[in-house]
Amino acid sequence: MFAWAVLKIAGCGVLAELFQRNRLVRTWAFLLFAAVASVMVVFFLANGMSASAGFIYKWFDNQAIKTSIILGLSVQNIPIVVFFAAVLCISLYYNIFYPKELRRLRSGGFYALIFTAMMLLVASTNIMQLLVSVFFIDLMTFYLLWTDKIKRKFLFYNFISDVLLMLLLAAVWGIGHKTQLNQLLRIGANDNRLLLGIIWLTAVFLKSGLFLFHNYILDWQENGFVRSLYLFYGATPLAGLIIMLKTAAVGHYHNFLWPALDIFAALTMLGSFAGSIRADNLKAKMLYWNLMLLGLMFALLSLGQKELLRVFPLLPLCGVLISSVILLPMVGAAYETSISKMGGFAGKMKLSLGLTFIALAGELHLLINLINEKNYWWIMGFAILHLLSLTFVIGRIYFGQSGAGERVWVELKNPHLLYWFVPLLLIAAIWFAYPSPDIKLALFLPLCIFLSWCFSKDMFNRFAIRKDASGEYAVTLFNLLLIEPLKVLGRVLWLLIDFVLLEKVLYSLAGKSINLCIAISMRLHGNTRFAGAVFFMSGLMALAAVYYFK
Amino acid sequence: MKYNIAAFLPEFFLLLTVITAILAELFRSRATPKTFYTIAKTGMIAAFLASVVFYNQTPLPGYYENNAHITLFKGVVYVLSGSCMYLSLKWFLGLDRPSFAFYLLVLLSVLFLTAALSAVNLAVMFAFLTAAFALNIFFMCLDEESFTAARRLVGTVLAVIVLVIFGLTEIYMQTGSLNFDKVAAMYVSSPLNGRAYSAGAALLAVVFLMLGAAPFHLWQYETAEKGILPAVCFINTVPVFIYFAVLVKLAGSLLAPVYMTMYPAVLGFALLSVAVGALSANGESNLRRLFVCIRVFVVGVVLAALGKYSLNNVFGSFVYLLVSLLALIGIHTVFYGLKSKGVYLKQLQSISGVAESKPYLAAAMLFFMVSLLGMPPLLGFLGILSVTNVLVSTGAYAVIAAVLFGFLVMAAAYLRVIRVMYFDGRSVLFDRTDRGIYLMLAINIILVLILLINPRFLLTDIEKLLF
Amino acid sequence: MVPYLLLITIMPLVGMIFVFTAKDNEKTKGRNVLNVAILTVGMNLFLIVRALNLIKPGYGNLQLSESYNWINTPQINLSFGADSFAMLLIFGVHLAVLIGMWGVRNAARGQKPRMVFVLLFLSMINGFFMAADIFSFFIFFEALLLPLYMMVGMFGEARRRNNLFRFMLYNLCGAFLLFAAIVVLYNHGEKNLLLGGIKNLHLGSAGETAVWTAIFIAFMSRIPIWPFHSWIASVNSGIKDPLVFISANIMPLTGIYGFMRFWPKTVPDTIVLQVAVLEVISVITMLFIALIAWVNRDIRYKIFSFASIYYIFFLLGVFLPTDQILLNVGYSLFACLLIFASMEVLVSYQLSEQSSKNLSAGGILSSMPKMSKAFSFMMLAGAGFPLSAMFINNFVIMAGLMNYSLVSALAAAAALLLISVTLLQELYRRKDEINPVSALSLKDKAKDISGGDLFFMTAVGVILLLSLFNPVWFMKG
Repeated sequence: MFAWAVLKIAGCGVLAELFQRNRLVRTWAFLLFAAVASVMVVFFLANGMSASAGFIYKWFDNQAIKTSIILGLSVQNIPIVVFFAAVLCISLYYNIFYPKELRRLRSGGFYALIFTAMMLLVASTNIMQLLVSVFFIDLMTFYLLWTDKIKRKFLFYNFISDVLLMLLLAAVWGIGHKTQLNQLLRIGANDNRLLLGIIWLTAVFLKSGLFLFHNYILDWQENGFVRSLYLFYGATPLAGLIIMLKTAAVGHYHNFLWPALDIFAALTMLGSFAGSIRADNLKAKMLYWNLMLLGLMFALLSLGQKELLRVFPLLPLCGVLISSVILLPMVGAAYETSISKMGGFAGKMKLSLGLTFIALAGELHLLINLINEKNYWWIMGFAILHLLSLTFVIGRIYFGQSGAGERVWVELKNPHLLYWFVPLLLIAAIWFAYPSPDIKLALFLPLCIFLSWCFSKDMFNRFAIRKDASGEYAVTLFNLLLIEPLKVLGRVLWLLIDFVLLEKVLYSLAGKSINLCIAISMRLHGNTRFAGAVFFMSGLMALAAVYYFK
Repeated sequence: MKYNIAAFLPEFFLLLTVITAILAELFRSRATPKTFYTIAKTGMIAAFLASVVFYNQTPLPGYYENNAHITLFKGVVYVLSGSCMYLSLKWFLGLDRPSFAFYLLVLLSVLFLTAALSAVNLAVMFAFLTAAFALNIFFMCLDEESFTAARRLVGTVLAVIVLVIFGLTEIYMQTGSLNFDKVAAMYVSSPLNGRAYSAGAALLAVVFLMLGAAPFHLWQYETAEKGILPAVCFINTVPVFIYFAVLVKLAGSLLAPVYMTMYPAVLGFALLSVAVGALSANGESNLRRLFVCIRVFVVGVVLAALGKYSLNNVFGSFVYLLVSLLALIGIHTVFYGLKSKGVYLKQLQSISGVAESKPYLAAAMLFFMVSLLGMPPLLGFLGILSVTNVLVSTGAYAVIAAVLFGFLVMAAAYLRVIRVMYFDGRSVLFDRTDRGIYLMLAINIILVLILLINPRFLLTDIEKLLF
Repeated sequence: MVPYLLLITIMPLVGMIFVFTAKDNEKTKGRNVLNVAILTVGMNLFLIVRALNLIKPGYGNLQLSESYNWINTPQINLSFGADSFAMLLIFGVHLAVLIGMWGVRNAARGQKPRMVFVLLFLSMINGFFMAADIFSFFIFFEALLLPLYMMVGMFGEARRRNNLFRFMLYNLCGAFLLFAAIVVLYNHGEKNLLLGGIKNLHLGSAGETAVWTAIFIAFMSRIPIWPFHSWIASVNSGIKDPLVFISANIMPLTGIYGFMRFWPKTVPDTIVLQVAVLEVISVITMLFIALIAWVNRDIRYKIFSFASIYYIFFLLGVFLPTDQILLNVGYSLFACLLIFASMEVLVSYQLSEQSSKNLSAGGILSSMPKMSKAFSFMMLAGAGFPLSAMFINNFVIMAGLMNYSLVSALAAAAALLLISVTLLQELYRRKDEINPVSALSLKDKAKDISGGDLFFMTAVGVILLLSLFNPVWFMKG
């Protein structure tokens, strides 16, 4: 059942790609959304939150390797599936009417295909399926990216990540010859455990864009909002998280690994916090908030798989919620994305502001409900950082001194009703999940408003800079430590060995020696009379000499 | 007695043909090149048939004998000479030149060479051999351009005569006879002294010179460069067989101790021939001289394979020689087709781009050169295989290395020719090629292919004949 | 019993004769010749698939054996035999050549000599892969050189003829070394020595060293490993004709195959050091070629590098002390052949459009949607995406390598990664839709490939995709 649902969605995606239209685009986009949503609704109504039988394809069965593709739904994967399904539906929904999206059917199709690949990843129980799904996610994501520059960086990070992942799994498989993911622990003490662990971490960090590796994700601010949203929550960053979840056994290869993850998660949160404060572009800020959330989720994973699984689907949906409410001022301000060109919007966008605070309160309510002994500090830390950052931005947009131009002021209004649907739905979902009223909620709203008002003051402007944070740390490091030395080494090797040693010394010497012999031979054969006599006599003398010396 | 004299028929037919040719030249007013070709061809066929019929009949015991081994060589000579004569006809007809002298010389050469092979007396053998070699002077006199070569050849022939006389005299003084048995007995029974050695060495040196082994090879260059194409074709191919057979006879039985003593020098000559042939071929721009270099190389490999003389060595070197000469004949056949504005082309650059307008000629040339290179699956591979197998079985690994290195250097020369023919642009307009050339090429290629597909004929049957 | 193996070897020779004698003038423009050649390859493919279905899958057990007495003194029989590995390679080579033929079907000149030498090359390489005794092996090993030399000389770049010359010479050097080694083995072993019997021979220490070193060098000279890499690279990157380029890049396969057949699983002590040295050199060469490809602007060089790096990678797989993954190497090789052949044909078309319309490569695919689809598929498959048998089989080989030598494996992975990134860079550079400069220069747009071309490439893509799911889908059972 589950497999059929996924395949139907994939079919919708394929059809959307094959039959692209230039007319009635929104209608087609709506039809795509309706088709996908109906498949999901039918599936969930039929199965509910129960496990579903899997589709098994026996893929490879030879002496060296045996593996299958399995597409089934297990109990522990259900929240993850629900989350991705929700993200897909939300993205397809926005895809219908968001005006900055020019190729709705194409992007919608890719969303569906990425979802299919993601389901393959979520359902994977063996190495091969995991790898195949990861590659397909990368492939589809690549086609969604807008410019050459973004594609190049995406390629760089994700392809390296995929290769590292492949190396890791190849190494582990080579030791134990077991393809099942639950057999990953079967390696010996001397089997380069630390190195494999480092490869694992690097692969995931690259894939998900954690601290030092986040630049390719930041480039997505040049993409449209819907694409950015889906790419973050439906594609590679979350794919990295799922990979780590599936291969969590590798974390036990060495004592250093989980602490290292904690460090990177913390650095991601802190770095993203700083970035979200300093960035001027609203889309960049959204990405930083998403990264902060991602950091938190990785931190929860380091506490145990159950810790992560229990926060699905609502915690990541919270990220979608925040993005959708921050979208409101952007849409309302005629799609202005620079914070510095916003400010003082509260007067004309009260409804948006209200919804934003409710969403923020909802997020805090959720976070409080998710707190337990293990994750207390992580969630608290995240909540504080997130709250500060969000209120800082909200304060600047709604209460701060205006930098908006005339065009923005003229068009400034609350967005269309369609933009409200998603945030309201998500807030409702949170309340539905945790309906018990919380006294702390009564404090959140005023706290948020107060903080926003504080941050709207000019004194906090120094924390904001006009241009986005650069931080091409990883790229610079890679270039300096790896690429440039390799290039130099290549050139030196070529110069010293190929050119000097081989060409100029060995081959040149051999060639010249032979040419010399040829020249001597030609010379000797030139003057036939004299040379003939000399040769003749020397021959006779050789014959004589042989007898003499014998 | 009648029966034994009948065994002289091949020689008789050849002599008769010579006389007929002379008479035709003297008395026939409208004698064309075809006339002399027909006469020579008839005589050659008759001689061939007669030699096959009386293959093991000894006409004059003690002086002149036949056996399967000798008949084999004679047969090859007759066939090769026949094909040379046919090709030469095209040349003479094309240039409208008199052919009497040429055909006469060919007939006489064949007569002397076959007679030398059958001789059982050293004096008879060397007399015929020297006479055959001396005819080269007259071959060079067929054209004004080659008179200088003829003059230089006189010196070479004189040197040959001196050595022969010296050798024969010394041997006669030691044994009192020049019959093979007596000579062989002398060399086997008594320890080898300086005089005996020098006599034997002188005779062997003559054979090396005639073969064209370095350092006695220089006479060939000018001969090939200046001589007319038919003469060059004949000289470079046909007599080599006989000289090889004579060498085998001398090294194997008559002068065996001398040969064994001088083996290091022979090996030196072999390797020198290989080196000189390969290196010079890379420097030559004249096609005739280039293929002379190849011939020197072939002779070098043959000598190297002959080694310290055993039946296997002889067999291996014979196979290599045969396949190489087949290929050389093929190449010379191609030369007959390379003509521009009535002039036969000699320079390598002048045949550039020939593949464009004469694809079949170029393909044939490629075929034969690749065969000479020893590249499988062509016949030359059998040759190089025989040589290498023989050398490996005797443990001569250093020689193998040198020979194979020589092949590699020689390959550069072949590749150069292929490059000029196929990859460079055409520089001249080529004349129409006579169909007879294509016919000869086709026959040669078919023969090569038959031998290739069924090498038992070449190897097994000949092995039986030889051993 | 039908002598399939002999027929498969001879069929291209027969086709070659027909091609040689086919009418080729201004009117026919090479069509006759091409049709005969394609028909020959098609018929041979039929025989190959038939033979594949008669063979039990597996590596090492040569089946459909045929033996023909050739020479009695020395006694040499020409023996043929094939396992599924060899047949798979032959199948892959034929498909690659067919792709190349498709790529040159509109060639203006030289169709006859091209087809003659390609068919000769094909015949020789068939014989090589099916050779079961040492002499057959050597005969076809050396016989390959001539048609390749002729093709590259006639259709390659004139100014690289010196490099072609050297390339031929060192290949001949390798061939002669192998020849000497084979004759030595023959003289030490039983007459008519089969390939599998080599490991049972006992030579002295010096003999062993000399023979195996000679064999080593002979096979190495075919593969673009240092120090043989620069001329091979120079020669290959100068070939503009796609069919000849493909043929030239099939050549290194002979070196790898040679190692596979000759290489004993128990390496003699005398050459253990040489193996280690070879592995180090291989890995360094991989990195080296990958780096050069990355900075080089010539896409043909990149394709050549792609093929070379993978060949060396497969060679490393061959040297692993296990036979179990050799079939996986075969599956990967099959896919690799098809991929790089397709890449070359597509790139040739693009380059010809660029030169005829004075366009730059950047964004050229934006006006060629069909070409874009086909090209993207091939480049992605080449980059290692799960679109062909290369994906899973490379995984298996890499696993084996990691188990054996972690450093080699990591270095090899780095090289594979580099070349994949290089290919992908080229892909999106050509697909770049937004670049305003390329948009301006596309006034006179590049002409897209026809529907027939796309159909052909789709068929190739389908074969590759099917190979992802089942590498031997064309075999029964």
